[in-house]
Amino acid sequence: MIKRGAGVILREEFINPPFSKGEDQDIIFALEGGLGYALPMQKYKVFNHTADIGCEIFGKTRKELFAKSVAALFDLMLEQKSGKGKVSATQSITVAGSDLEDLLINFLREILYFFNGQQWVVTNCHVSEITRKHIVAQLSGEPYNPKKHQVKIEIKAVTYHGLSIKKAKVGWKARVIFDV
Amino acid sequence: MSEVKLERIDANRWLIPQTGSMKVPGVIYANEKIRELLKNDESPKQVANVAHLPGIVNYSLAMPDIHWGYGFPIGGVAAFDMDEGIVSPGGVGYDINCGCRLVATDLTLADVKDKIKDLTTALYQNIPSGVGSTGQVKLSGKDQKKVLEEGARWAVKAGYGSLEDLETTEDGGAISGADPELVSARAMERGKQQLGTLGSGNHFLEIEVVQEICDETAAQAFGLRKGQIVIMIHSGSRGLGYQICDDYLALMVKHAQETGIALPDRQLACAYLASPRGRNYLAAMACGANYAWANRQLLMHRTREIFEKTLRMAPRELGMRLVYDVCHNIAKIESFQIKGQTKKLCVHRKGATRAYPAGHEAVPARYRGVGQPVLIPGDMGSGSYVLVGQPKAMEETFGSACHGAGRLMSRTQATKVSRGRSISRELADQGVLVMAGSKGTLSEEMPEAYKNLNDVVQVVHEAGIAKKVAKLKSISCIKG
Repeated sequence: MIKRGAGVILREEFINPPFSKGEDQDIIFALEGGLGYALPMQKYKVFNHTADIGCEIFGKTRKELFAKSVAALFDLMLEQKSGKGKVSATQSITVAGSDLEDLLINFLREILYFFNGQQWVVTNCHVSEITRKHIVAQLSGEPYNPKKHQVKIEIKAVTYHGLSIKKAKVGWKARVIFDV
Repeated sequence: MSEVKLERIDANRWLIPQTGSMKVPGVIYANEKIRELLKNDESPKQVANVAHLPGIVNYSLAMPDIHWGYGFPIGGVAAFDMDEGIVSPGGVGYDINCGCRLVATDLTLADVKDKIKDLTTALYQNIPSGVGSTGQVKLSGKDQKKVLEEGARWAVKAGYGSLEDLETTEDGGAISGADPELVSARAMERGKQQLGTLGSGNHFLEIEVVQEICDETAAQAFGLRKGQIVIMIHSGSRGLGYQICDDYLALMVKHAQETGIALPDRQLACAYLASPRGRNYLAAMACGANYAWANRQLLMHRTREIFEKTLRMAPRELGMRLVYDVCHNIAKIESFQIKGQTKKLCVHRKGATRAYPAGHEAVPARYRGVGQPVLIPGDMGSGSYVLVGQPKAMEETFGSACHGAGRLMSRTQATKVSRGRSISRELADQGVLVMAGSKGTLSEEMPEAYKNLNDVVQVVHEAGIAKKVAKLKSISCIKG
C-alpha cells in the first residue's frame, strides 16, 4: 500500500537510495531541499539515429523503467547547474495506453508537455501503480529557470518509431526515439 | 545494412520493387554516391513502409536528401487518393509547414562587408531564437484564431509587411479550411507565446550572397543577380505545430483498429481522407501551416526593421522584397494527371518542396513564365540553392523536389566528431560569421553532418524535376 499525504513520497517506494552528496555522477536530478529524493538514475544510453535521438533505457522493474525514462528525457534536454531549486509543486498523474509501449509514449508525452507547455522541470518521479494499460505517478518539479537549467536540445516529441519494450536478462529494456 | 533491395532505373533513380503487401513500388532519387550512403541507412525501408498505406498512388517517393526519420523518411513524397487514401500526421511531421523564405535586397557584398558583425549581432539580439523563446507579439485569443485562419494574411493586415509579400508566398500564405476549434487548448497555449520566434535545431536566419547564376532568365524573373545580398529564413510552426501533430497522432494510434489498416510502424498511424478524423486533422494541420506562414512573415518583417536601423537606410534604398516562401513539411490537396485524367490527391511532402513548372496557375503571375522558385537551404558552410520547378516534376514526383542537403551523421556522431574543435572558428575561416544560442547546436549542425548539397541538387537538376537557378553562399548565420 502506498501512503501519500501532502505530496510526500515515502522513502521505501524508491528503488534507488535518496540523493546524497558524492553520488552526483550517477544522479541526474539532484534535488537539494524539497523532497530530498532524486529520480532513480543512471542506465540509459543514446543510440544513433540520423535525424533524431534514440534512447535505450533500463529498469529492474516496469515502475523503475518508466521513472528512468522520465529522467532520461530531462537529462537529454537539460544541463542542470547545482544549486537550490524551489520545489514548486507536486502532482499525481494518471495516464492510459492500449499496451505497455503505447503507455510509455503517452506517459512521456504528458511529461514532455509539462516542460514544453508549462515550463516546468520534473525533478522527481515516483511510479505508484502500473499495469500494461495504466500508470499512476507522482511528480514534483520546479519552474524552468534558464539560469539553472541550460537547454541542451529541444525535444519536439516522443515518437512511436522503432519503439520497443522488452524483458531483459534482468529487468526491462525500452527503446524510444525522440524527435528533435 | 538496409535490407531493402534497390534496382537501378537510371543514373538518378532507384526502384524498390513492390513486394509483400506493398501497394506500389518505391522510387528513390539518388546518384551512385548518394546510393552508397543509403547502404547504412534505414530510410529505404521507410520508403517501402509508406508504400503499404491504403490509396497510395503510383509510387512511394524519396528525394535525394532522403534520410532516416520517424515513420515516413525525411525527403519522402507520397500522394493518396481522396476516396480510398489516407492522411498521416507522421507524413507531414511535427513541425507543420516548416519552410524557407528568401528575401532579396538591392545591396551588394561591398555595401555590407564592414557591417556584417553589426548586422549579425543586431539580428541575434532582436530575433528571438532557441528553446522556449517567446516572441514580441502577444496574441489575444481572438487574434490567435485569426492567425490560424489567415496565416501570413493576418500578419500583413496587422502591419507586418505588405500585400506584395503574399503574392510570392506559397498558397498566398494561408491554406483554406483551417478550423481553430479543432486545435487543442495545449497547442493554442504553446502557440500564444511563440509567434515571431525562430526556434532551435536546424532553424536559422542567414545573410547570403548570390555566388553564381546558373539560369539567367529564371534568375532575372526572381530578381536575383551575382554579388547581391539576400536573406534566407528557415523556421516553422513552433510548439503549436508540434502539439497539433502529437495530438492527432495519439488519436489515430488510439483508434488504429477502427480503420483496419495494418501498419508496419505505429508512427505511420493515419486516417482515411474521407473520414471525419482525417478531415479534422487536415483542418487542424491547416491551422499549424497558417501559423508558420505568419511566423515567417513576422521574422521577415523584423529582419527588415533591423537592416533599416543598423544600416541607417530607407526601405527604398534597401529594396527588400520577398522572392518566395515555400513549405517543406505539409499535406495538401493538389491536382495531377493520373492515367490521362485530372485527379485531386493528398500529397504528403515530408522534407520535400513543391516544384511547380512554368504555366501552372499556382505559380505567382510574375514567375509563371519560368516556374516556381524552389528554395534549398544547405548546411552552414555550403550556403543554399535556388532552383525552378520543371514539367517533369508534375509527371514523376507530384510536383516536388528536395528540401535541403539531408543529414548524414546523427547528432551524437556530429557532437563526437566536433569534439575539441571550434566550429564557429572553422566557419569564420570560411567567411561565415555564426552566432548561436548554444555550442551544442553548432556541433550538431556542423557542415560535415550533412550530405554534400551540390550532389543532392545535381540529382534533381539532372533528373529534370527542378533546375538550378542560383547558388548562394552564406556570410552570416544566426541559430537558436
